[in-house]
Amino acid sequence: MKREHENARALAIHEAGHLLVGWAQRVVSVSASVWSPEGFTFTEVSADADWTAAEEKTRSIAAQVAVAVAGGAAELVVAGELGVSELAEIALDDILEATGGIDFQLAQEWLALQRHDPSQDSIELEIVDVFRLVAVDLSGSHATSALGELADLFLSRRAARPRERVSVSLDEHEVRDIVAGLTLRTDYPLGRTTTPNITEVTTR
Amino acid sequence: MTRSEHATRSPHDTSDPVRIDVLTVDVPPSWFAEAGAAPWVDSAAEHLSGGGSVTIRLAREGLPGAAAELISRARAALLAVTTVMRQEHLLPGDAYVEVDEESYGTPTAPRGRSRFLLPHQDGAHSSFLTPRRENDGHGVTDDRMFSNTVFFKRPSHKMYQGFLITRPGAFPGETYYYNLIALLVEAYRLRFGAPPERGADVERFLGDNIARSLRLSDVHRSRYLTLGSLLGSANPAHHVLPSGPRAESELWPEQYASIPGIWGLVEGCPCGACEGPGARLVCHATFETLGLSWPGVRERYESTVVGERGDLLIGNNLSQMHAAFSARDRQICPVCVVVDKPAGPEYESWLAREWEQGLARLGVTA
Repeated sequence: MKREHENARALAIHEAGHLLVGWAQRVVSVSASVWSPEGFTFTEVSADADWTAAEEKTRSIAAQVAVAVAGGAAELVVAGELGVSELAEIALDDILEATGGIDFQLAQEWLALQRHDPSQDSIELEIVDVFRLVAVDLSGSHATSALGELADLFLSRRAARPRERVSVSLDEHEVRDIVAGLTLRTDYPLGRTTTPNITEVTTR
Repeated sequence: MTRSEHATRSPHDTSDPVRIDVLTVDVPPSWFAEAGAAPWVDSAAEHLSGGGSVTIRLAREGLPGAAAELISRARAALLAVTTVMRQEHLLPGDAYVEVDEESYGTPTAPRGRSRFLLPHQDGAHSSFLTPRRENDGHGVTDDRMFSNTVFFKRPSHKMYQGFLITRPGAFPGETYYYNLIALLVEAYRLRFGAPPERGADVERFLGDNIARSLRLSDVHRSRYLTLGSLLGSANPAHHVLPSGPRAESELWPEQYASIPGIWGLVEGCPCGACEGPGARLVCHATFETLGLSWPGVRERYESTVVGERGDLLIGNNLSQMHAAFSARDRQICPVCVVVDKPAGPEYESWLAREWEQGLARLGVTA
């Protein structure tokens, strides 16, 4: 989701990024990307992790962060203005610009649940790390092609029914054909905000 | 303002019943050698049990340099206070001191150097004010749980929330306390056009509001009850807690998606002065439920504490909400008084006393 996006195709690419990276994650599920009559887009993400198990909690948070920043990463990749080496070194301000404040702060919100409290510096460095990995993953030709196809499908449905809620769902054969054979990372590492003491307090 | 050898009252004392009374107690450095009975312990226990907040200053002179030693002192101080609260002030026998790890900093909005934490209750997925069981018309006291899938660390029920300041950061942080029972009484008056005749009316009003927010949870997606939801707004947008929950922060995508009209609410607020989507949303909620803008609520109801290094600030986490303004590099250590399950005769007795004294202060018959 990106506030006041003026470019419909870029918005469709943005949401396709959420859908594609969410589809690839082991520990979260995405069902569909939605384009509302009011003009906003959204991808539903759900997870069923056991938050009392430290490793499971961290994997779940990492996946949520990856999905949250994937929209901005997809836009940058499809725009083709940055090569792989530049994507791998992209700076925080450019990431914030690409993701938009809503997705960026969603990623931040998840990371803030890692421990009490990660510093803002470590949160931002973590987002940079994950964003770079996601962007490089999406820059493969098969992934870039899938992003374009998903976006085209989304745009065509929006154009056909501009006053209705339309969606692109992973339940559809057409969508499953687009992602078939695609290989993306299924987990993302977190190294800046983790702590051994993630579920227990120190003193009773 | 009153003073004694060990305690100082805030300017917001009992002359204004809608504000939280804050007591500051100084712990003499010599106390830590024995950590036993002391006048400051009795004062802190009585004040905390009486509905106020307490700032426990862990020896301004001779402060230890290491955070670990400060945290150890904070734990010792709170253990002494809770012992008296258990013996003399109805604190349940299974309540215990929960000390978390020291924070690494203070999350802000992107590029922020500070953040305003909006009114909330710590661990509010399972820690919030509820009616007494006999005044619960919805079963919200069966488990006193608002959400249970995503939370920070432990699902304990935090009766008193506190934190030790180990590093103030770029500027001294401020903590703000709000009397939730007073806010409920006023919201009730505005909703029904007359003040509550009995305290049970207020408790039932709160139970209705909690039940409503639980029913709307698929729409607002919040894991905590908000000021707007506790005070009875029917608008699901007012049940939305922004990220953080910071004044400067955005809402989650799923919240924007669930409540399309919320886009407009975060663009402007009734007073026109609030900065940030989170603050503007709260301003709408307080205007709806209290007839006051968010700055107006702060002016009428807020009590302020400026915290320094070595200060342990603690208050009731259920009958109060708290907010904070602090620097990005501030570090704290949460120190709370909790129970694992908010149930049983001892918990109910403690809760009943909270309601009775809170309502009596406002002139409402329990």
